[in-house]
Amino acid sequence: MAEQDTALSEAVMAASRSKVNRGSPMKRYLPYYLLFVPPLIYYLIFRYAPVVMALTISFMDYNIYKGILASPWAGLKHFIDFFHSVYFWRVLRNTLVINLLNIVFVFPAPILFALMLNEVRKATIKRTVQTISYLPHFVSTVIVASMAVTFLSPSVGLMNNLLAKLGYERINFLLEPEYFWAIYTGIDLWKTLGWSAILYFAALTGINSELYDAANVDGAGRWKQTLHVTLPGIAPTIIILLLLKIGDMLEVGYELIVLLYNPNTYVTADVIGTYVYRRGILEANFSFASAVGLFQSVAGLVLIIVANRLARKYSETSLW
Amino acid sequence: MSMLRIRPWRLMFVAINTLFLGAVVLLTVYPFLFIIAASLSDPLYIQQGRVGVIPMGLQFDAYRRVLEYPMLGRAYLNTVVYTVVGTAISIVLTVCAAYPISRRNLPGRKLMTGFILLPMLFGGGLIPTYLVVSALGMRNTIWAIVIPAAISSFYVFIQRTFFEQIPAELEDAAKIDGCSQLQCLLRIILPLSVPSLVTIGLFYAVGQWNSFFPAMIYLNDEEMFPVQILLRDIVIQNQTDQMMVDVFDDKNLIGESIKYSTLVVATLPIIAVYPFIQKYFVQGSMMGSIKG
Amino acid sequence: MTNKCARQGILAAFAALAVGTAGCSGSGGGGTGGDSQGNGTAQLGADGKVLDKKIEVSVYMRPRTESVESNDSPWMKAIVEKTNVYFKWLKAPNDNNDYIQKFNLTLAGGDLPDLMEATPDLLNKGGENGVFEPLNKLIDDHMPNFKKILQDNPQILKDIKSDDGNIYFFPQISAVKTINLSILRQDWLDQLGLKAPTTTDEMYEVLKAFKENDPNGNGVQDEIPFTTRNKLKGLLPFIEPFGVSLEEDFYVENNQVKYSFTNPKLKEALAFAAKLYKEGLIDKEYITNDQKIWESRFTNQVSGATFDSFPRIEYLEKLVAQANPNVNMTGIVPLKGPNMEAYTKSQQTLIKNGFAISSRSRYKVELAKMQDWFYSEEGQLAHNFGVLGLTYTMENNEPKYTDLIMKDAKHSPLLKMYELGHREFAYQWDIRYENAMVTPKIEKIRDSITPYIKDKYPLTLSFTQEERDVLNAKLTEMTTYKEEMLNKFIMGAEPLDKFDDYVQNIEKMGLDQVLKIQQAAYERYLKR
Repeated sequence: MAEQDTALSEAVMAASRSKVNRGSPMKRYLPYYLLFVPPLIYYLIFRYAPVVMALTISFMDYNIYKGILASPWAGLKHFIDFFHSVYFWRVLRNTLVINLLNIVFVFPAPILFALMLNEVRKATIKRTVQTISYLPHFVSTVIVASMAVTFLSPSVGLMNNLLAKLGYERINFLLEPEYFWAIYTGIDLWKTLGWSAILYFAALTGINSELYDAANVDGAGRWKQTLHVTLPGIAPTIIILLLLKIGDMLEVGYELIVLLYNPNTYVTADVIGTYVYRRGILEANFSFASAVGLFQSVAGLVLIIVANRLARKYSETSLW
Repeated sequence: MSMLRIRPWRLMFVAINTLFLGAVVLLTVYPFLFIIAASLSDPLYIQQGRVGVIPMGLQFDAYRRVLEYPMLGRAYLNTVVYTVVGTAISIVLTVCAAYPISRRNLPGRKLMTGFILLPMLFGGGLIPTYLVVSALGMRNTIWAIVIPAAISSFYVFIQRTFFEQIPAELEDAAKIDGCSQLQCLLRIILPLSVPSLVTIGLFYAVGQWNSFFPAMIYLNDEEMFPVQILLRDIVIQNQTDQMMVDVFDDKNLIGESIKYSTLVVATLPIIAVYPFIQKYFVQGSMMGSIKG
Repeated sequence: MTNKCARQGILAAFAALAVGTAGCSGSGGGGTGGDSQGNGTAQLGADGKVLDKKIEVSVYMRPRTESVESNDSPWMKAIVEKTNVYFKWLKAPNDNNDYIQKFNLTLAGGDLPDLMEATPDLLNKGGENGVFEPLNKLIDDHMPNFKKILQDNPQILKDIKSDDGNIYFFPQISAVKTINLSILRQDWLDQLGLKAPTTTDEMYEVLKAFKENDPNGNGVQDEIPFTTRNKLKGLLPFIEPFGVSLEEDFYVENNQVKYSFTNPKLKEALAFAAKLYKEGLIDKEYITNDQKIWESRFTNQVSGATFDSFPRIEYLEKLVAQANPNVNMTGIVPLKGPNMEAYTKSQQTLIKNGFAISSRSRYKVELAKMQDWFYSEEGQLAHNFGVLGLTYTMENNEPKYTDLIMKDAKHSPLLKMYELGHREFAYQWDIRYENAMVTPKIEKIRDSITPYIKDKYPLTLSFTQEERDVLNAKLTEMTTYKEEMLNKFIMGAEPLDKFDDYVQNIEKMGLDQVLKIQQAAYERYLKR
């Protein structure tokens, strides 16, 4: 994409990097650092302090009644426990598959949706479609799961009534392990499509309209404009979101899965999150939960560092 | 607009686009029509799976019961206060974090970026966060609701990306005119960032509106509870299979409808806010599309 | 029956019905309360109040959506004025997991309310770690009524005592043991000329008849005879008759603790369930059914049998009546198996939850005195029946709810009581309170089950930290695996020839270690 930038946008970028040097560096930069102080304090207290505690807890046998100071050390016990679990590979695989499906299907969908909607000329239609699309974001997971169960039910569900009308066998979707990934991805897509697109709408809004003018003067058609102006315009947003998504490769929230899975579909539905939910949260084994969390974080960190390096190499945007 | 030349491929695109967006709308909207229909239907028909998008056995009892809920007004007020205060704090802090790291030549920028990125990957989890909030004496105060979740690193990065896209020469020009960095931020950068600030503000606001977990664990005083706690109470109550709930009450009969009407009541206000905010997006996108 | 119980003339009839195997304790009710009358009054202060000075205590306890938490509510006002203890309620979540989570966090945060409700296990854990006050001395010094209950009911003492010999909580003592039973549509049975099944074979015939003979009369064979919303546990009536229960993870045979899910008898039980499943007699969606779909089976009149709690008989009847006013639901006693007498291990435990006093509370003695009054006859009447004249009247020395409770236009009696401020503190449930919640028909069915209830593996065992670690690691994985496999066996996804492989796999997951720990904990329990 970056290579296809029009000459014009290159020029704009170049101009933007010209520097105006005035005053001593300290005087110039001090306001920025001062601005950063409140977030700095916030992060130290509410993000870093808990992480330090959690790191400590994951190497301990943390006893909530006694507190961190009085709990005994446990070394690598909880990590070994997790890696040696008979379900380690299964939950790891399921977590990765669900996230890969997310990157392939759920991640690009809002981009496509935003671009398509951007082509609609009538403002009222545009607004209406956009407003409707973000509705699912407001529905709590409990309700989403309950509706999914209803719609997918073999006996009373809409899906199966359709299948039956078309002359197919009714399928018990939630009971067959092979459907679980598709169902989860589908629900994820439904719930996030419109809401995630908001960021792209905002990015589209931010594209300098002069760039379109210039492209028009050059005689570029709609398709070419999309390719050379629109896409590069939202590319930074896409790349940032993708990088952050990659950092989350080992995370799948447990809430929806817990409501949808059953012993029959554990084989595809059990992810790290649900496994830890059963062993760490419900059984109040916080050290174990922290240890697995640490493993997920370190793995995520490695992935995001690699991805960021690639992003820096091939595009103008990166996280740092 | 006059420049538009009608070509076959353009027609085909419009057709495909219409189909695509139509499908999105249909799939999105169907469950909501169902929710609204269910909230107005006789629960018997819901159970029998006969309710589609049109209410059957019309009743308003479910709404009446939800609205009769004694704490509802108070809870709404609390939610509004938490949302407004929380969003204001969040936006200020997010700008404070995003602006410096959007300055490409700021020494230490990488370090600062990493400082904000790391917490996205490493979470403290429930207990440590709770201990910190408790130690600060924030339990059972509004601060436990609005402060611990005040900044999302995710939105900081989004905001930073927007700041970066603002051409630097604008800022440079302002500085030549004698603006300080702060004046520059307030007078040039922020006004230009309205679309993204509104977007991020909306994200924070909706997050705050929908959040129930901090309220559940930090608040002890019913007077301080937000709407989402009531929603959860009502929805969960109709799902539990505790012995206690087994006792038959005519409330059980209407339970299914109550669930959906509660959802509507709890969600409608924040959805209603959206069209007002949306005008900021639309202004911008009109600018873009007018050139088509 | 001990002498104590027999002395309670009025209650004898209820006791006989409800006590079953649990002896006197099961009927608790007014039984023990009456004995302690004399002692109870001795504790009162000069103005007839339990405490001389007014105090305010904070309390964290299980709520309901309907709960009115106020010292001024009619129900609580009488109690508060009598005891001089005013409550400050900390709002707790309704959902069970949420409740426990907040409980744990509050403990971790340090700043504890004076009184906290939780399960015996959680309270004992907290007590052993010094968070809750040991009550032994307080009971000896200030609680004659409660002491008497413990002396008269050794089973209660055993269930609330921690392994370290201390008592850390005041129990809610239940009056009814029955909980789940098989529920059938009597009108379908009548229509098909069938009798209520008593054996597994008869059950099979009944379900088959439900399936084939079109009892709903719509001319289509669309019946799903048996359904449940309780997943695997909902199939209990087809498993237990073979001598193994899903209600307990472990069972004791010749003083040896064993794992229920590797019990050889399970194979036969699964075979029966698999047969029913294969022939379409059990809901094919039993694993995914939720409350809503379960209810729809009945309102659509495709299902005629389920396994659920006894108040659901009436619940389902009212539900189906909207579609078919002729419906008649009934509950049946557990089935006899090929080689087994009828029994069930599904039950309400004698101790529900408990209340513990924070070890940092300023009001330990005061709270002990208040609790003791809760366990006195007067206190029990106040908690179970409310305010004399307003919510109940005395007829021939028998409390009877007034129409305010029983004939409310909008609410069932229990919800009405909640609306008036009733809360479930630690006291003894009265059987007459339980009876008022259900119709005489349900009461009769409920009590017919009681004699069949067998004690299950004790839930109140306690473990050391090392033991907990092993259980957490091994048992959680075994549980995941067995749930997966049991359902597969029933649904025919795994043939039952694989049962032995399944047992071997569980053994490989460290069953030995788990059983050793359970054995040790069980023996400690017996010695309490």
